[in-house]
Amino acid sequence: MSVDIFLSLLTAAFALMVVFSKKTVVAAFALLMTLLTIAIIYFQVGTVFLSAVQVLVNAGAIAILFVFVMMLINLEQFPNNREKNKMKLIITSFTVLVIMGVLALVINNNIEMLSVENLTDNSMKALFDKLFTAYYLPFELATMLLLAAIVACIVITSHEKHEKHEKEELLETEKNR
Amino acid sequence: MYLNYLANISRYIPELLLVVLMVGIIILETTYKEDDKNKKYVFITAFIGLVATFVSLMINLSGKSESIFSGSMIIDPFSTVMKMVMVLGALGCFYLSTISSEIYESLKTEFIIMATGILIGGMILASANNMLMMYIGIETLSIISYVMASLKKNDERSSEAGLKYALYGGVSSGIMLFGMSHIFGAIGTIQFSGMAAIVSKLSHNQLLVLLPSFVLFFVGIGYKVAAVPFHMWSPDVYEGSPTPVTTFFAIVPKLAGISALVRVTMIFFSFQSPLRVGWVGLMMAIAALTMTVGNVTAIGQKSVKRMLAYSSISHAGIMIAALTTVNQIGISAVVFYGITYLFMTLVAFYITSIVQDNYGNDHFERFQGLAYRYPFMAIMMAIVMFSLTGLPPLAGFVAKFNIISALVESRYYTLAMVLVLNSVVSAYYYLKIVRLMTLKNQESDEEIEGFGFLNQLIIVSMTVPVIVLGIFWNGIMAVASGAKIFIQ
Repeated sequence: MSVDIFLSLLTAAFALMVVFSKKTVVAAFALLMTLLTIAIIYFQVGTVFLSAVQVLVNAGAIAILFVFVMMLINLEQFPNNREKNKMKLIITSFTVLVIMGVLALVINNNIEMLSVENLTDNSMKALFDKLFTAYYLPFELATMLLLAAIVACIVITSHEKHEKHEKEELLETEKNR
Repeated sequence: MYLNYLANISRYIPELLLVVLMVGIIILETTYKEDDKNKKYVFITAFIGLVATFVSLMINLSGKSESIFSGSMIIDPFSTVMKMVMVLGALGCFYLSTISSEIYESLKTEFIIMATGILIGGMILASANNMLMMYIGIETLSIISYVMASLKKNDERSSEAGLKYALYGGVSSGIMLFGMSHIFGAIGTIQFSGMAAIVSKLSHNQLLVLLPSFVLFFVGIGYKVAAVPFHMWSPDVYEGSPTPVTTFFAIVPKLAGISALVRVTMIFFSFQSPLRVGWVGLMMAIAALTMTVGNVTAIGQKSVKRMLAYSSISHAGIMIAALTTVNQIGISAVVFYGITYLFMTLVAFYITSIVQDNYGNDHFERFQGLAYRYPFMAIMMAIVMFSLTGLPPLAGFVAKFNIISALVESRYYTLAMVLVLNSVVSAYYYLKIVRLMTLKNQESDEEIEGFGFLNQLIIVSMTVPVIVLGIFWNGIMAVASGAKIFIQ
């Protein structure tokens, strides 16, 4: 129980850090940590598969994507628009009230929490058994798709070739004259 | 279990050949130096690979129908014939890419690699037998297409086309996945035949709940074939892409989408149910809209390529119209239409591409007086335009006649009438090119480089089927009516 509370507090702390940190990179790091701690909570309640997917998809792919986007666009050029105004205050207080209300409902009515026993699964083995037998063809074809997509990525991003095209086009326009 | 799985590979050779071809070309490309201009071995390899795929498909055609890889793929005459048409279309586009100056010299190998990838995706889609394979097929088609549309990197319209395609494609495949997950949640299996077995036992109310999911499911396929509410991307993409890519888009993804649609329709809706009534009604409305919107918008176009893009939308509408019959006659009509559509589209795009390469744009005026300089090519273009309109004695007439007769047999008179009226409308813009070629004076006397002897020979040899199929259609019609759907 004490571990649960500690994890919840840790998650909440990281989540608050996402909202309140001034530097975007710190915020992205905090987001990554939030997702990871949620994955640990999933692991704690016994849903191994969900926790693995959480690490792979949310923490692994989405958080990294955020960092990539930050690298691509220079965020410092945008002014910090975190000024206070009334509308924001109203909306914020309303949201907080709704959250508190839901919490009060849960505590008052003693709504049944998720019980650990129901969720315990050993589905990882079953899943990958299926993946490498009955669904092996889709798995392999996805690799084919990725190979073609790599070539496609090279086509749209290569710089050297880009300059060569410009030269080619210049030559062509000169020829046409 | 594992051995059975591997034993299925003997029926899957065409796709494997294409995968080997794609990997082989990637390796072959690395052996060239950076500024090598003439990469002819790449094209020879691609040509041989596609011909080998075609031959192995022909061998597959005579084998018995079966479902392979634990039911995820179906090899039946219908899918095999559609795959053969797609391979022929890809072959035509590969040659067009070598002679076209719209694709940069340094990107020609990449065009072939990516086109082979799309072709594999189309073949997956044509024989997909569960929702997972269908989704992988559609994504393989789409993701590589986005890049192919923006192959002319320095051209603004090409980049715009790629971005538009990616945005529309992402949204529509998301909607399709949403529909698929609804269906899976309600039925509990992804296998088409298993789903159909459950659907046939459901009560009316339960079916009504499923209908929206099927509509969402249709969005993904409808977007691939550019059926009307989802056609907005198509003219911009077709106009912005280099012409060989446009040709490829007009043939391979379109026919792949149509064949997936045929399979879904035949598996789920071949028995009487409220779901079938809803689906056929939806298909009829979409077919009529697709034909009409495609044709009417094509009238006002200035660019021949854009006109061909809109006309290909209306051709997709005609093929969807044949689907509403949900029987073998309709399917044979679709297959026959696909075969004739392949040749007509190829010739029209070849001539447009060559003219465009010479003048730098593809407005209607560039065709003025073509009959005086290149009478032979003008005749070929005229034949194809007459055939696209659907005039006898050309292949387009027989194809349209088949579809109309299938519709009349199922007593869908309104749809048949819409189809005929649309043919009349389409005559305006198809024959406009013929009028410009013959009745107007030519703009200049200069020679068009692309119309060399070899290219003329290839264009003529692709026009021959358009004429021959209009008179001796029995052979191909036998193939088309043998193209049965196998359900397991």
